[in-house]
Amino acid sequence: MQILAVDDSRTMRKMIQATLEGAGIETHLAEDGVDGLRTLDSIAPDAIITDINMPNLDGFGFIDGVRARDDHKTTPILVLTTESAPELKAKARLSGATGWVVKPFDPEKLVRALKMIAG
Amino acid sequence: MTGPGASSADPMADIRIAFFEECSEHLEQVQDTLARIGSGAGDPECVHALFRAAHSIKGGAAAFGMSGLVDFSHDLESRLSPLREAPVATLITITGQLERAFDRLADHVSRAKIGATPSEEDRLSDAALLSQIDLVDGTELSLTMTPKATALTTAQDPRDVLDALHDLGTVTARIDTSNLPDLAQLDPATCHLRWDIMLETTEPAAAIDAYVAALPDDLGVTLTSPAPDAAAPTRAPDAKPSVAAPSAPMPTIRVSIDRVDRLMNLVGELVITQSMLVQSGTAAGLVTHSPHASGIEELGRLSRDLQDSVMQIRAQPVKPLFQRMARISREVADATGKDIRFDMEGSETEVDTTVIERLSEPLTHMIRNAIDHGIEAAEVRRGTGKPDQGRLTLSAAQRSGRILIKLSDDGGGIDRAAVRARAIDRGIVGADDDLAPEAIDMLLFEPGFSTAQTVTELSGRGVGLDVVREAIRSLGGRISVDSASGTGTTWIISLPLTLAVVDGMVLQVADQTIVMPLAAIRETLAPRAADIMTWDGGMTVMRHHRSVLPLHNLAEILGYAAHRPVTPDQVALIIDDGDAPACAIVVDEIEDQRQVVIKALQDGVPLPPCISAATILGDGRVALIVDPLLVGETQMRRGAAPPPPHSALPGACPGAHVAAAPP
Repeated sequence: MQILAVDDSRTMRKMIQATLEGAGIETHLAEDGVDGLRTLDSIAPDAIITDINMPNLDGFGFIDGVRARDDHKTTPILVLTTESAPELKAKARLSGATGWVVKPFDPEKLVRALKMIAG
Repeated sequence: MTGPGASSADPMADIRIAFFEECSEHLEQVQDTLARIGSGAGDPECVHALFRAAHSIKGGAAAFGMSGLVDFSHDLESRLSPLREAPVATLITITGQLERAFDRLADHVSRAKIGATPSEEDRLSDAALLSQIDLVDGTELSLTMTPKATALTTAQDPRDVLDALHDLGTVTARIDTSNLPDLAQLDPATCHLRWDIMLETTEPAAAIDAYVAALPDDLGVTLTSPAPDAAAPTRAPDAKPSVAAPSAPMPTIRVSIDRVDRLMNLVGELVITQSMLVQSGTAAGLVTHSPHASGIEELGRLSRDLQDSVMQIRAQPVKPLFQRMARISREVADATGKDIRFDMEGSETEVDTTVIERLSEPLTHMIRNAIDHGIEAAEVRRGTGKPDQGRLTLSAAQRSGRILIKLSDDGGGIDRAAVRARAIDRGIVGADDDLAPEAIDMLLFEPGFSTAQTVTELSGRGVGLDVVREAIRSLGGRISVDSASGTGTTWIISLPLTLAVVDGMVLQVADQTIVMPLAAIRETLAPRAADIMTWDGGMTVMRHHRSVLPLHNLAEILGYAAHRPVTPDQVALIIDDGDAPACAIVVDEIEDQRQVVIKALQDGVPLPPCISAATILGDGRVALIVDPLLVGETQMRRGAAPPPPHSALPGACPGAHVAAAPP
């Protein structure tokens, strides 16, 4: 399985990477929405993890961008963020997010959620 | 357990380190952003950047279960959130509050780093601090004032209300005279007027509400509403394109200082080996322009380039240091109740990283001093026609192979009479000593000297400027002061560019090899007996151009030789780098001029005070490095002390242990 994780925090990126690679999942990282969309030009992940609050292009904009691509209409997208407001979740769902995991994440849960949506 | 590190401690430890590094980066960027907001050049992206910094720190902290840090960054984030919609111009009004809030965030980060949790008291003070980050919901409020007819007879004056509101913001009042009767019917004791008031304010709406509620009913003042569309962009900034958009940072890698130091040492060894090759080649009669000789020359050029490149790795901008000092100045300003504006200049100037680390403490002390003792209280300033707000400027610049760091305040300047009195009191100088103003200023750096009349909690910790001077000296630097009574004081720190190499002059002194940094040597010349005189006190001087310079014999100062006359085959070095008294130093011979690698001396080795370090020369000889300015200074300072045992001159006259020349 191949994952693209988009988060502007280096700490968070390292943490996601350590978690996923520990579970044998190939992980690609991007720093914000713009970087994430650019990374999608070169890889075809089985699922995408994204933060919401990011510079340049935030999570919502990124999800819109992903969904606008023909080859990613159905790629599972997991939102990983500290926010948990229902209206934000609804907004993310509307723009095409598959699931929502709140930070700080439980590594096992994250891996399980990924396997569920991408498996 | 929420972190992914429950089972594997090692990667988490790395990530934890990375997290704190990231925190520092965020906090550093925050300082830039706050500076932009404070200067009025802020844009909506600024608030977003502040918000993201708090948000990002919160996210990482949560992953590590640092609850104190999570709570504070969360609250800070919530406070910042509404600001994202606020008109930019109003942000300037809360720059100070934002700065303090992010200072507190930095405190929380440091605390989390050592695993400490905030106390209940901290939490309360956090809440109070954060509650100050508040813009009015609407910046314009509208009020009406319809005094009752009897208001004037009960001594209520509508004008008082207008004056009070004026203190809260900008008041636009319209008077309604429609109820004013004809003059014939006018009762001067009855109020017939009505006011419509627009108040443009940065005070919280609640404060205005409270004020209005406290007014006597007779005045009939009511807060009608925040005006509709109060946040209308009437105060929006000029529609300037954001030319100062931060450029994308260059890609970087992280390397531990140890590795760089090792590289630096190796390059030092390489430079030494190269100069050994040059010498052995010359000794072996290697022909100039032969392939071997050109090869060695090329090796030398490459070694120097390599050395420069490694030194560049160690060089860091002083900005983070300066930003820390900005924070210190805010803290001291708060503690002393003084209003201080802190400016920095040349913060992109690069200095060796060791220097930056070791400057922090002396600079902190100097800033405390400047605010606590240098800048006067607001009432005093007002009396002398200065603005209430004191100014403190910290600047860095590179000047002819040295770094100059200056701290200027616009305070009252050094009270020289008080300094002198104190120095006499402490027995540092005699009551009859004739001291130039500059000499009085230098007394501040004497051990045990404290200028504060009252020991304050902030800067009166028994640590004087002598400790600052020692710290600067241990970096191969010097500190001086320039003060004008009534207008302010400037402290000048002059530091070598690097602590690793120095352009030096290799000298022979009583059959010993000594290196002297080139930067301070202005001139070299053969001394003429006719120019050398010994004054009555026993002090030897040399006439040079139109001035008379103290003359020091290096062999004698270093204890290599007893007093002996200066001979014409010796060399006099004229020492002057602009901020220390000039002097002449006599040596036996100039051998060479070259870059030398500075090797620190081990502590505990007894040495003359003017030796700063040692080096290894090309032929393997070890040579001591002399700081020429310290030669002059120590000789002057020791002027009143008894001469060292090896001195050939009897009697303890000022400067007596300097050799006298024959007429």
